[in-house]
Amino acid sequence: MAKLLVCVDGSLYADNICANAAWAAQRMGASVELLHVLRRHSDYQAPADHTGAIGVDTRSELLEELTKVDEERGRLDQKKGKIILEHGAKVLRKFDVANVNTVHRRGSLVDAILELEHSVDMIFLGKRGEHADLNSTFLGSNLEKVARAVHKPLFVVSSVVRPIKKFVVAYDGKDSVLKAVEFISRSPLLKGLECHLLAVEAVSGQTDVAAATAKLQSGGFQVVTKTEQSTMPDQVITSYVDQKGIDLLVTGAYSHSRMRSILLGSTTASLIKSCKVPLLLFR
Amino acid sequence: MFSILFTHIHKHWLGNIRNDLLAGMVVALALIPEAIAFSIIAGVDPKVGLYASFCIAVVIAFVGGRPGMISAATGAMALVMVTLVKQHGLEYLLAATILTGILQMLAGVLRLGSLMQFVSKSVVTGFVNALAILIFMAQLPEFKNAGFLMYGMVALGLAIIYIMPRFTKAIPSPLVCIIVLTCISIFFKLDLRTVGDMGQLPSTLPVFLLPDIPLNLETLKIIFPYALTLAAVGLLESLMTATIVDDLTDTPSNKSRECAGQGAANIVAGFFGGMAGCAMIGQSVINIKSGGRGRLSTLFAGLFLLFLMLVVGKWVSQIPMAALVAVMIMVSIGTFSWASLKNMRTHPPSSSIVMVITVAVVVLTHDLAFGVFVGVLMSALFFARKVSQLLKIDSSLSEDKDKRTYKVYGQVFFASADSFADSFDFKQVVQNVTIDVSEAHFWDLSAVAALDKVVLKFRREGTVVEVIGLNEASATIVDKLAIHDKPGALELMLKH
Repeated sequence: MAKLLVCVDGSLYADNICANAAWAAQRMGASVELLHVLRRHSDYQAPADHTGAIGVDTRSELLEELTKVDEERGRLDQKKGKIILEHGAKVLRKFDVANVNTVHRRGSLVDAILELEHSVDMIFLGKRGEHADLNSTFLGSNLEKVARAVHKPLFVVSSVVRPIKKFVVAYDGKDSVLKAVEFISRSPLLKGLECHLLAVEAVSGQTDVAAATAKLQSGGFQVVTKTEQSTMPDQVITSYVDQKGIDLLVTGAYSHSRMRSILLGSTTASLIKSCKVPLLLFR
Repeated sequence: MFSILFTHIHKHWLGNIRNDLLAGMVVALALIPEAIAFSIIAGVDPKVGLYASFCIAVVIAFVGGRPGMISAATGAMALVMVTLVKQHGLEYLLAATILTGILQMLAGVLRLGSLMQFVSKSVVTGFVNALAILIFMAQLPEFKNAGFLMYGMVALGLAIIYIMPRFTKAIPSPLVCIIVLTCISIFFKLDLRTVGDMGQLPSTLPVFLLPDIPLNLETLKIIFPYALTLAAVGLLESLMTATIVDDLTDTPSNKSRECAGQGAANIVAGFFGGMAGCAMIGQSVINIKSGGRGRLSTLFAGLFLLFLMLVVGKWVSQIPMAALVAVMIMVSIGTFSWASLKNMRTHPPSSSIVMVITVAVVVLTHDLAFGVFVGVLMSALFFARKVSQLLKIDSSLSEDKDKRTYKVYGQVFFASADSFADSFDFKQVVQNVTIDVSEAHFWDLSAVAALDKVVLKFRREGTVVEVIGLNEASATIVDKLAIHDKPGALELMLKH
């Protein structure tokens, strides 16, 4: 049985994540692992006292004090995490997902996902975490870390939830997107939906879409293929998604090194930012 | 690879910027009096300790294994180098500092930090208490031939340090103590010894210099023993402090990297005219208390220290020694584990004895490394004695009174071998004796020799001896059979 790893926190995305995951779980006949990760103590600001004086047994008092602060925060976090997980499970059940297992972990989200990754088939994550503003143009700090670390398809949930009827594969001929095509042609996830294949190339004839189209057709899709010339693939893809009313963008992710992304910008990051629809990323 | 690098930088350097900078400042302000005071203990100019503190803090911020820990010139190290400085001078100290660094780097590469597992909690407490006592004792010469004026100033300083935090936690009270006492001293033109009387303060950035010593075997003979002790003391205090910081922050540290990092820091300090140093328990606690957690706090402490020295250096020379003494008394009070005195009533006497002996040896010899050595030895002996009591021998006589069976349970090793051998009754006349050792652990050759002795003794009485289960029993002589690294070794050791 297929399994989905669904990562939720207290952000506004949580319900959307569950809704999208429920849709996928029903199409794939999958069970859901609902994951919430608590922050480590060291992720919080430490209490500060700038007196600089140390007296009788300051060391043990300090240990006691720091432990107490962590303890109180830990208890609140635990309670909150439990509520988040219970709520998520409730939303999933409302969408008729029968098989929900909740996982409550402490530490970094990336580490928790990497530990569970091998036993699941797809990972669901929101564009931003609970500490980010929904209207912000910045992405969640976790998303890129997760996207670069995982090897399973990553479903990035946006603030918009609507029934997924049309999807587009942003095709550049790289390994990651070939993996995406392979996945789509075999998985029941997108079967029967309207399929678009969009290639954006800097030089005409650079990408060969025939093989990919054939592959998708062999999976039973009616493929609408389009090739555009531009050096700004993110803008072309975004406007295509808008014009055609696409509901899901499938693409390869972060094929360049982090250094290059910082210097030249990352197509993936800008797509996640500018497209309002959910994305399905492959590495 | 880059992504690992970025995550690392974010976590250790930029995760806590505001608190790290503030804590770094608080630490730097407290480092100045300490560095000066420790230079005076070592018998060198204050600038030697200040340059050392700057170099060590800055280097360890990058290469250390415990983010948030503060390293600089320390009292523990200063105490070791006193005679070297007295007999041979500063240049030999600088050379010894560099050699100390090399030895520490070697220790890091060889992962000698793992030897810390043999240093028991009582020894650590003893070390910390001894250190506090030594720091306090080093202040006593300042009181000699000093009038009531000096006593009064020190008392006022301590009062400021401990009472001010009740009113505000925003300003470091030791700093206020120093400023107030300096102002009083200047304003009333008091006749008090000042830092300026103790020797040269830094006026420039530290410069790279090779120690001016003959590079021959004679020199090595002089500096090597000191370097060895310095390396040991430095690593001991650093690793103990790292454990304290680990506990306070509930985060792990890399002990081998810390050893090598201490080495690198000392090498740099030696070449830039600084004395050897290590991690500081008191300062690290101050840093954590002030909210410092990352490498940035250590780096900024070093940088701010140097900035202060170069900018307000001429005022520093006006600081009366009474202010420094007050700060150092605070450090020694804060370093001492007062709870350990209370715990002496409840803890087992053997651990209290280990703690007290460690303190006594250090205070008598002024050598922290030797004190720890004695402490470790004592705890090992106490442990051996305790475990040697885990030995029981049952015996039963057959109905025809011809055969006696001894069954041995527990631990047989050098400490229990004699009581093992004494547990057999050689006077009773029986034809056959069976010794069943399958429920015992033979840990070493002393155990095997004791069994041999017992068997021989029975044979001389004309008794036929049969030993059962020796293979299982001697499986614990693990370094011979080397089963401890094979799977299932623990089950094998524990099952009988």
